[in-house]
Amino acid sequence: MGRAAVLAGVGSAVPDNVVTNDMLATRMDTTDEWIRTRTGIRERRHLARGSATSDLAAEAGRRALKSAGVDSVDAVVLATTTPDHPCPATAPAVAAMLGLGTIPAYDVGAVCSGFLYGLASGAGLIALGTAERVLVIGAEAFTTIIDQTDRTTAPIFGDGAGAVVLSAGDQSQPGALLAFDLGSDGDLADLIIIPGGGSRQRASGIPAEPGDEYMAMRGREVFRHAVLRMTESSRAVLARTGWDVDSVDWLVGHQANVRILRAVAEHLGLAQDRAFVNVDRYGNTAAASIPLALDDAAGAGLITPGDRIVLTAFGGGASWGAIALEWPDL
Amino acid sequence: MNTTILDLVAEKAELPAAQLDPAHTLEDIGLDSLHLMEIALWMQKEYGVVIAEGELHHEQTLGEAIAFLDTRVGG
Repeated sequence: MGRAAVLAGVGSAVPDNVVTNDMLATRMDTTDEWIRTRTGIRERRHLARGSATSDLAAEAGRRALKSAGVDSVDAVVLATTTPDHPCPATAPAVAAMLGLGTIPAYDVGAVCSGFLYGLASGAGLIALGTAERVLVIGAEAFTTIIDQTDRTTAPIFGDGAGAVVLSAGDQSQPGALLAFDLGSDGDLADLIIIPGGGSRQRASGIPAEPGDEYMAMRGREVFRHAVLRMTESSRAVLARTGWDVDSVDWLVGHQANVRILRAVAEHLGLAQDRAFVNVDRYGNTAAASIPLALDDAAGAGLITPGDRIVLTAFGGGASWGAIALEWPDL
Repeated sequence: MNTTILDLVAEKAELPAAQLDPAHTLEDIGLDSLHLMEIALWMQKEYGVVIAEGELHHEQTLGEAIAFLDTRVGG
């Protein structure tokens, strides 16, 4: 069998501060019922003042290394939309915080699809022979780019981090990443966008408008494209693995909205209870959501060794993807 | 009236199809904006018909919405 990247450990970290729907309803015109019926979200975590993405990333990374039973890797790939600073990348700081030495470390930006792009990048380093072991992290201090008075975005997003260790192995090993599908459509860049703070606005010579530092989202159109692209991408990896949809044990989709997850399962012809859901407790944590979901599901004993898993995501860019694997015995 | 489409609307509204009054608006029967998108996506899956954002809206009566969807399926 060919050389492959094999998932060898998983970990996650979320801030302690729980923010419930009722707490949000005291600050803005919304209700617990409205948020739950539209999104399935009951609560989310908010980062403590003074903390940043690297703090969550390092903790999730530490737990993934422990899960894999290793204390060194050859590279760190960090998927994030909310780096500690606009420049430099946050991954080198995370590598330093974990005492991993002067290894290559870089950020990947694909918003909510970022973790899947990070896995593909990490698997690429292994395929090239550049690395034998890679720590791939998805981490977000997403609430820092959300206007906490905006009822269309504030209830949706939360902070968190998740990570996996990929090790060089072969495709017959449990945990091997068996098939990848990735895509993007820049014509949909305005679906999910922070208008200010980038070179487009800075080079215009026109100061950013108040609020332009926050993310804006066209929710209904995101919903439509997310369902179609996640379905299509999942089908592509099923075709590449030769798996029948009925043989899939878990669809671990990006946790944006329970209604998107249900619609993707329906479009795939998969039973709804095969779509793992933890968006109710963490909200949408963007690049962190898939590894956070994996750690949560495995920790709860829902995902068990040998289970066939399809990961899929859609996010800003627009970007999307899917990856298939069989869950290893960790 | 297309009973398959009516059944889908009833499922989204969580009401028996027989209880749905064609004169009521989609908002009256309790459909939110994501329900309208779910119906549009279902039309795409079942019939390959793309319903653009805004073609289904809350002010439409159920009768008008079903007639519109019927036309799109027929066309």
